Amino acid sequence: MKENRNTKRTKHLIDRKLKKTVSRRTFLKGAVAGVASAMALSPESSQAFTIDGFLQGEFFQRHYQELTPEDKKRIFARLEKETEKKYGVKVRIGDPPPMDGVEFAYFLNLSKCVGCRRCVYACVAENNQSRDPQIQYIKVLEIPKGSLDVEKGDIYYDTDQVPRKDKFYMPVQCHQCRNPPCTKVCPVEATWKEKDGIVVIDYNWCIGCRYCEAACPYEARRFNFATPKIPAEEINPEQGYLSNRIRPRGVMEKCTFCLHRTRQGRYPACLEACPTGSRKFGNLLDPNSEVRNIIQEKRIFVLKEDLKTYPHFYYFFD
Amino acid sequence: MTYGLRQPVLKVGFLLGLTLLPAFVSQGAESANPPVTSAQPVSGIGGDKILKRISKLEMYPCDDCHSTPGDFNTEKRVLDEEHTDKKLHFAATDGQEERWCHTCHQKGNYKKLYLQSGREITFNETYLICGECHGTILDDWNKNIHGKRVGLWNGPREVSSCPECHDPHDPKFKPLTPKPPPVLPKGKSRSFLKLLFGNFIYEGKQKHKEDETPH
Repeated sequence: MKENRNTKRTKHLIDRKLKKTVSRRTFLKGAVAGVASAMALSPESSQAFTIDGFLQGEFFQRHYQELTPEDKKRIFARLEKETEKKYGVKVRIGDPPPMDGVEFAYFLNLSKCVGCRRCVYACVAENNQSRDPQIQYIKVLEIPKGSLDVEKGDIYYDTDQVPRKDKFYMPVQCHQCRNPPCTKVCPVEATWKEKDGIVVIDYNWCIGCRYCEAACPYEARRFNFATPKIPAEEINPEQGYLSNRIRPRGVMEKCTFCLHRTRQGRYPACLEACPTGSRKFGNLLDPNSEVRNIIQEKRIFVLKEDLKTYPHFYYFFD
Repeated sequence: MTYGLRQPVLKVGFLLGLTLLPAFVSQGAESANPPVTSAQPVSGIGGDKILKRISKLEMYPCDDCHSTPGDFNTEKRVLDEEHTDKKLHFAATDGQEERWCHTCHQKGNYKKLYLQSGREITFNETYLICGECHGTILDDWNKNIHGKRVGLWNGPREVSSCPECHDPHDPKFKPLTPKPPPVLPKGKSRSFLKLLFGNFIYEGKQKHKEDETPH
């Protein structure tokens, strides 16, 4: 009975595909359907394999920027299902669009930062980074006072109390450059700049060549060498397609200014975790925002400005 | 005095008073503290909400101990009976004789603080007192450059007022225990990395540079 139904469904699917004009994509789909029908006929595979699932799966998914709202709905549902199957957690995946009239900017007060790494772990919890192998978006550099040479910085400092004498601390994360080297080198355009200034990655389009990691002067990009391991109770169920959904193995990831939060008006997770208030975030186009106040009142600088990356991430002193 | 200050509530209140009020006492302001205006509700900055402080005070209200006129000792002294846990960074103990409890705390009513103008404020508005000396920082705080705020970047925020992060009696930001460092790449040990990139090479470079500089 079941076999019969599967066969009928496969035939119907193939017929439908064949009636359409044949492009490369539909041809491939037909071929796959053929293979799939053969597999579906064998009783042992009929349970684990559905043709619809395969045709709508990652292999035939279009680039994010070409997706229609219906496509997105279907893809997000699929990803939610896959996540639940893999990690045993019900998640909600969305993709809040960039807001009009908004250009994000991040400011970090080097006079106030004490290097306690609260931001690093808040980021890991919010963005579902892999715990093993460990992936962290924020690197906190401990630099001897008297210079701003990041090569003298140490990210592995381990001490009972911070700040230590004669050291200052400089957290570095993705700078969301206006002229990003990482997007230029991507051979498949899996990473691009959105209009609110955030550089994003389509994890389903990324081929994992790691060119962007090599191109980034801020060491902001991370590669998933293994399937991320995250304890089920630590998974953040509010996820964004372009930001904090759990990444598959073999793709790049990086800080997105928590776009699933910030595009809904909230502050990034690292800012809310900072006990010193040295992190400031806001809309650069709003003259009353805190970031504009900082530009007017303080001495600000960007890291490696000679590279002309024009970041959206600034440092300042008091 | 003796009875009142043994109560914990009183301790806190008295201590707070100690830190904030020294200036008044030195001027012999025994009788000159009429409250000018009553405390105003905490309104906030541009729609933001300032976190209220009173509910977090351990020994509030202070009149559990400081209730009768005898409970208000106006003599400037080192506190060795009560409120000894509080360190007064700018009070008499610090060699700065001009400030102590009654510079900021209301003599006769430790539930209130008062500004140099004589205006009476509640413990929710302590930022006004801090701003009397640290005016530039208060400015920055008003513009959300200094201090912590959480909430929405385009909407209402929760604003931490000064005592959320700074002990009013010892305001220097306290050292923190950092979270663990990132794990090292497999097969690498800390000493190995240090050897490669750390102090060894760094110090070597420095030495080299010094040698090159003309004498």
